[in-house]
Amino acid sequence: MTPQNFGRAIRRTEDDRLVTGRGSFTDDAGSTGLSLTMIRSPYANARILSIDVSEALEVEGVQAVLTYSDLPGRLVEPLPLLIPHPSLVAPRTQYILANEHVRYVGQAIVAIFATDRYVGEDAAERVIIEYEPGEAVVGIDAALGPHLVHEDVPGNVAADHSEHVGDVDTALANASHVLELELNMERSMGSSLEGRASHATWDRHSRKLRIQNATQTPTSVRFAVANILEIPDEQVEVFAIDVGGGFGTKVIHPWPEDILTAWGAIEYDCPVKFTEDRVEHFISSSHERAQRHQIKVGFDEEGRILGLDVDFIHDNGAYTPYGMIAPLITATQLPGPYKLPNYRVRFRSVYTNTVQVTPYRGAARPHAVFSMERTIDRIAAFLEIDRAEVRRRNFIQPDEFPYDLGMIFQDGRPAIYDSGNYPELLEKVLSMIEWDDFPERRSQATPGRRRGIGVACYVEGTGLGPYEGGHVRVETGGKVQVSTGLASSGQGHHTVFAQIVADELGVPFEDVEVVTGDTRRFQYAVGTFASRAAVTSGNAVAEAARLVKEKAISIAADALEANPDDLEIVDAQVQVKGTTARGIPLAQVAVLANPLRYSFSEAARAATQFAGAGDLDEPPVKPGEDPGLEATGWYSPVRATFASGAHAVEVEVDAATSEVEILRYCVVHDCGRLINPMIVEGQIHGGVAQGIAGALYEKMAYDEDGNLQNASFMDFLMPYCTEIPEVEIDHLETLSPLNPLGIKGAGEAGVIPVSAAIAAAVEDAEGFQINHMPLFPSELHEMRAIGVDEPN
Amino acid sequence: MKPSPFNYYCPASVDEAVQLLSDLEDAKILAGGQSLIPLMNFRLAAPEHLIDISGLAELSEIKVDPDEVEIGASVTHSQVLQSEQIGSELPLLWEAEKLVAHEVIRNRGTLCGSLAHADPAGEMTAVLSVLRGKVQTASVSGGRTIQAMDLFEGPLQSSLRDDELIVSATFPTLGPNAVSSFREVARRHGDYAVAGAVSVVEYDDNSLVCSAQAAFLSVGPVPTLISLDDLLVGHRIEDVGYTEIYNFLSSQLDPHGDLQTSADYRRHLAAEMGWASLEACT
Repeated sequence: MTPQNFGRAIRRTEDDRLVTGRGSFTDDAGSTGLSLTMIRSPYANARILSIDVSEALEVEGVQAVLTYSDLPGRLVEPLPLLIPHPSLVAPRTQYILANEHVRYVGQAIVAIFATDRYVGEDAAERVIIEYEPGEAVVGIDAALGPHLVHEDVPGNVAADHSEHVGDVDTALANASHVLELELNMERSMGSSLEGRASHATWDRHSRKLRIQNATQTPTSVRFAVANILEIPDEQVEVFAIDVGGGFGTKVIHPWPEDILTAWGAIEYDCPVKFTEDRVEHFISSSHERAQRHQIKVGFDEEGRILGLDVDFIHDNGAYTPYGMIAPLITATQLPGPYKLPNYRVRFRSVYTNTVQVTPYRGAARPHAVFSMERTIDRIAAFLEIDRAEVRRRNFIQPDEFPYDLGMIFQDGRPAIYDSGNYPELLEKVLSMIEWDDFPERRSQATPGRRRGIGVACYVEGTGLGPYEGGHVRVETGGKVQVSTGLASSGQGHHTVFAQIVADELGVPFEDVEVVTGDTRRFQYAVGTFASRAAVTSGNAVAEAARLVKEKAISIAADALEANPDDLEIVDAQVQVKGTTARGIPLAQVAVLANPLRYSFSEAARAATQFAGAGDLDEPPVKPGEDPGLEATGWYSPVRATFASGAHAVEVEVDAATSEVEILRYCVVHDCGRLINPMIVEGQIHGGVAQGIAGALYEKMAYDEDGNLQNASFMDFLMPYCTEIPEVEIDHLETLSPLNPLGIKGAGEAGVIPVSAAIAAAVEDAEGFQINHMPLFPSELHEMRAIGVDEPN
Repeated sequence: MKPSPFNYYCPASVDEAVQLLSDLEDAKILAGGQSLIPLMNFRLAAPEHLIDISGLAELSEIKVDPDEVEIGASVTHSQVLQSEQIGSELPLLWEAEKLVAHEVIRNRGTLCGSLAHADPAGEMTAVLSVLRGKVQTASVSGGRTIQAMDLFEGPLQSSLRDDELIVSATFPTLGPNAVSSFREVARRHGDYAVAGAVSVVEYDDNSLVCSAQAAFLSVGPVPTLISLDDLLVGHRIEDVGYTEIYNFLSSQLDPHGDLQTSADYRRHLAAEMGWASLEACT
């Protein structure tokens, strides 16, 4: 097969619709029925003494005002712990509405069903809640202190996890040099353009609950809703038509509002909508990133790492709905592209009275890479060896794959790197940024500014299981319909899956129409996260297309009285190889695939010329065959495939303002075979932008009482496009041996090493250590005055 | 993030507007709504009545005379930037307007609204202060003129009475021997400045300073006006130099810290911006 579409920078088919306001987001669905408004806790830790809703019920347009004690059936249970883990000894999840206790500012307490959100908020002002506030546990230091978030979780420790390879103590004892570092990363969050949203309709005639939901995982939302409402799965349909960004927050499910809208639609027999506003997204969705790392590294005179001992604290907020996925990723991805014969990691995941922490794009890898890369830079500085050279000396080499880290990855399977070429990645990015000539450029810095350069490498486990499926169906009109169960939140799935199917099946790209994230079209799926969609659904739709092709050739072989081996599909026509003379359009094969009693179209009439009488002793659809030119394909990877990359950045720090200006930002990225370079580059641009956000602009500013003081885009400094430099990109294509398409994931890559690279560049410019992120001009100004980065 | 219920009025004249303002309890003037509406959406403000003056033709005028520029209360920031006359007669106003938020906000937000809002982080409050401009008001009991130094009383607090409406703002133009400059630093393009300074320097026939004033934004409850006459009159700015000017300004400024910024850094930055704007006036 010669790829016609695979590998080409085809423009995204979704964009025309999305940029002209014709997207179909959840808030666009219907404005009739009821709107759900939540009252959220103003206290980080408090007992609820009483709730008086009587005045709110008198507001015109209010249907119902519910508290925990009003909830029926299974709605009184805590929300599910989605991913248990043996190390998670004290998991806690929140209730749909707070049950006596609130544990973070923003936790839902009261649900108001009203004609619209305005009325809902008017009613909310009339609900009187009495609280008995307790001591708020905010930040890692407080978590290690005497006050508890959950009375029955001693030390606030949700999980205490250790893993090791080799013998770290002996390695450190025998190392020529040992250095210690303490590194800190602050909280941030994904900040999708669209917040969480759900619109539920109950069709009492067909007894169907139809839910449009802004989710990354519609199939699982469906099962969760059916389960909690105790109704058959078959009565629940969930679809995510357009989702305005997810970044991990929308993997978490079900949210309290998902259940309440669904329940309300049945209870009040009308559509119910919840659309999260920006303040709610800040205080009642998910955050990520906050960790503190203590590192001890032993190395030889050449800078080779002999032993690495990492002990970190992960602030998981008030609840752990997604288990320990984030810190487990930090632990296993910390080694990156380096050989660590002796590596020990321990983490404690601790509760605080803050918004829950769940994976956000990059999923706890930025911290891991920050630790590893800062450590390498520190070794280089200690030994006075070029930072790139220390990396070279520690890389896993291209001939060492598959490379077994000796650890267990987040999917519960061994962390074995499938393929990669880390030395070449580094050399490429060094040559892009002209690393060797930097000393000359440093001396040419703008007057009054200090110039620095930094580099950071990473490995990212992507494309993990358990599975995805794809369905491909050729319509008698010639269009090819493709569906897969995972949802799209901006990735470009409609384009890349069409590219894959068009090539596998032999049809024009324009004839392929893709639907994602609709349980009416595809019932089984896992979801869009962990940079897995292209690998899993991509290989699944490819398999489905191959099956359809096989079936089409078999049917056409009968009709043409030809040997199937002599047939091919070119430009949507099944034909004898090398000749277009004798062939049948795929649309007609689709008609033949479905033995018809009724002729209803030109295509059906045309197809009858091939139908013949057949063997009258055989049934029209033979045993083992199905009518229709369609097939379902599945792909279940044995384990994750590991993408990799290297970023290099050159900065200038302004002497007067301490502002960091990025002069050049270079990325070399290896996600195996590229399906669509334009889309991969778009993913990298967005990822780098979020990385720069986390490095220089964003943090969650909690006060000591647990109030998030910057819960708006005025005070939470998500950068604008004006703050993001041009990103220069080059690719390496080291194929994955684990899947037929040879691909690896690309969705999160861009964000992962940015903090590490920028810290390195600023450190290089200033000459003092950078041990935390983000780095604000105000802090940099003070660090310049004292010449160090004080651990905070 | 939805506002409380309110009544909306769309008067046909300034007379009608001030009558409403006088008659109604708890009424607010709505012009561009770029500050008021977000406050209402957060329910930090919940006026019972909004009186919309954005459509009043009598408030939409820009008058440019050799001595002063007068801008009506419904004139948007974008309209100021579209006025070539303002660009040539009072380029400082253009320079400052370009620093006001983003284009979509400038398209709706009004210059007089910025002044009435009395935000010490606003560029317009600083420009009015350094130029010693004034606003004209209307009310049922008659209009008055308020000088810039009397208008701003605290953060988001002006000396406007509840029944009073700004109808226009007047900015004196600069003489032929005066030079001005605006410098600010914002964390993101178009954000409120962390610190900023706008300077106006007048020179005598020997190119020596005969007057130097600077107004600072984001460093106090109101725009902070500092006279550098004692330091600079009779000298050249470059001869006095960075260190002396920086130290003088630092000693005069006493800003607060916030989520992003320590008080110390803000003082430093304001003094740097003060120096930068003065240096640009040489």
